[in-house]
Amino acid sequence: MNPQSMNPPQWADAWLRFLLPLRDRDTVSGDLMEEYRENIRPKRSQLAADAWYLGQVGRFAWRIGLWALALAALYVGRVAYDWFVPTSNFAPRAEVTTLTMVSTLLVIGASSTLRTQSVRSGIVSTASALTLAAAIDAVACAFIYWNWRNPELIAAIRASGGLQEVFTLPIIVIVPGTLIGSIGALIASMRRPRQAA
Amino acid sequence: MAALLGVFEQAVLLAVIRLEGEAYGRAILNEVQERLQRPVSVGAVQATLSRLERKGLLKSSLGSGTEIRAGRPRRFYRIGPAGQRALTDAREAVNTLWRGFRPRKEYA
Repeated sequence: MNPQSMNPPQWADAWLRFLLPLRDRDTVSGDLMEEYRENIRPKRSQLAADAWYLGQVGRFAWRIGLWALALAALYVGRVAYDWFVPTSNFAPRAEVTTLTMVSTLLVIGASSTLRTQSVRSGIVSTASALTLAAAIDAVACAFIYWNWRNPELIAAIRASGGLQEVFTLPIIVIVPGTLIGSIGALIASMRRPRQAA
Repeated sequence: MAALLGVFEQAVLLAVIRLEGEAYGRAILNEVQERLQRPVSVGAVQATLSRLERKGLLKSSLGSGTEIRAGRPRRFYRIGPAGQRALTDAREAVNTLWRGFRPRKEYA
């Protein structure tokens, strides 16, 4: 097989390039591509080689993993608080959650942009962190529900907006959240001039 | 004496020296894997190269792209005088640590 025809998943390659600082974007993704084509793919099946590639890309995405954990902690913390400490006035809790969420998203967008010197990277990092956080939230909330459900908890869930909201809200938030992260990214790009790669 | 280099940093710097003019990311990765005799991630090597360059122990320049890399350029690294000094310091520190040490018979 011609090495040039062996390609890792295109989306993973594109994602990696967004995660890397502008200076390393071509060189590091090129190193990974070369290793994949010359060493990994000829020795492994397509699936195993792609898994290797994704594993390598994942190691560049650890910051996004940390941000996703922070966002998921915010989601799950709020859900657990509403479920186990019910209230009839959600407004103060909503204010705190919203402000913390907006601040976190601004920081994600800004920090990624400062690190990579690329606004697009800030936007992609925010979207990735939100998507991963939504997945973590779904698993964690399902776990809490299945392990602690009882009539009292079910009543508290209904009063706080229902089970559906817990699973759909983090998904709905991805688009507006990414927009907020974009604002952070744009602000950061104004503070630091772009450098040539 | 500046802060001593870690083992992985030493492995990367030594790989750069061994590879002479051919020290770019993937070649360094393979050299480090061979010397340490374990798999190493591209991310770990890249992070170390960036750190060593920030510390002024390495210098880099861009090379040309090749077809196998989808035309993407290579970044070639070379060691500077500060890098050489840091490696010598690290080696001397280890030698000092082991000097005069004789393992007891039962551990030999």
